[in-house]
Amino acid sequence: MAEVSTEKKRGEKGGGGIIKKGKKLSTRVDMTPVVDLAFLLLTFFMLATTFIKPQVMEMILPTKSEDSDNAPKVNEKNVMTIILDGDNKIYWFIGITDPKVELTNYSSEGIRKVLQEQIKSNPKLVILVKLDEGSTYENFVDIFDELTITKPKSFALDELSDNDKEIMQRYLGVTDVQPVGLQPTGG
Amino acid sequence: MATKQSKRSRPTIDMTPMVDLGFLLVTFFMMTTQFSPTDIVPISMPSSTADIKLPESNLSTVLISKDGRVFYRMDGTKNLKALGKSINDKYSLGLTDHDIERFISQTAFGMPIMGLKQFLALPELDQKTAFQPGIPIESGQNELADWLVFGRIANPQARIVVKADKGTSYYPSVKKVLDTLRDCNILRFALITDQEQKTPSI
Repeated sequence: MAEVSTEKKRGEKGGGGIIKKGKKLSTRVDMTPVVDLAFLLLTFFMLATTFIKPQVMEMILPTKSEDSDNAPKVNEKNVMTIILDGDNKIYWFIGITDPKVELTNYSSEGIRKVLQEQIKSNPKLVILVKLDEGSTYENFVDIFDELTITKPKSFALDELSDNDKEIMQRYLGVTDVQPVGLQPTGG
Repeated sequence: MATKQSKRSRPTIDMTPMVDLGFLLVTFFMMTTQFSPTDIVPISMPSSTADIKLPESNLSTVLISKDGRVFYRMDGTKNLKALGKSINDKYSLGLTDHDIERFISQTAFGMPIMGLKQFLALPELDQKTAFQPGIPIESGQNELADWLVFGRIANPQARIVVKADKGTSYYPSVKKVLDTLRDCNILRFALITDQEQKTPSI
């Protein structure tokens, strides 16, 4: 539009006859407002778009079986129990009769290293993950992520058994740590 | 002299290629954008190294807020309509067609089913700001199971996904949701997470 008016002005200015009156006005259209509009829309859509799509983690739960007799029997030496506690603490031990409990954390030097070493030394290892009160959803996702990375033979989510509680209480009693609020089983 | 000066054309830039480019980009962004439904509650997801992308539609989502409230979300107008009708029939809520229309416009549900009619009767603005107490998931009155089952009837292709805040305590909400899924015989589902920044050291 500015273009068109310029032409007109020029015509007026040159009214002396140098520029002939009959000269056609330019048919060019000023594109600036169109550009304004285009870029306004562009900005809006760019800001409204989210490129980072969330990821999904596949989970498969075992069926709820009533009879525990059908459950596969495993040598206790091949069972590793991981207990997730509050404050991002992880306790783990192998076997169920008087095991040596160890404390670790979620860093790549922590539980991942432990899992890698244990799986390497015993490929038949079955891992049970138990969550104690105080553990968060983030802990839950983290531990399953670590298990997906380290690929043990099998792993499962389980409840804290009475035996686990006893082991934990004994361990925490020895090391004189604040007693944890252990979750009652059942439910 | 004066005429000569007036003859000199003003420095104008041809904007046409710029418009071309602008509209090309606009078209691109318009085609690729889809507006994700805004969450009723802010949920900051944990990160994981999972590399499967979340599908865009056919989702049946269970949301768990940081304070442990549970919400249910379904996409697709047709599916929502079917879901609303089955919920209405099962609980004999007496929802009118108008109520069903309002049911469809909801992004997520987080109230006891008995309070649904009352909630839908609220003005639209109040619905957005109203506090939703979460779907009851106690073992005696587990309404999440109904939402999930009717959701699956409404859209059998729907994938069930769980979206929870990273700070949500595992007990009792997350555990109860997992137990409910298991009780409904939904053994395959997915957890929504963000992409982890660091790469695994393997």
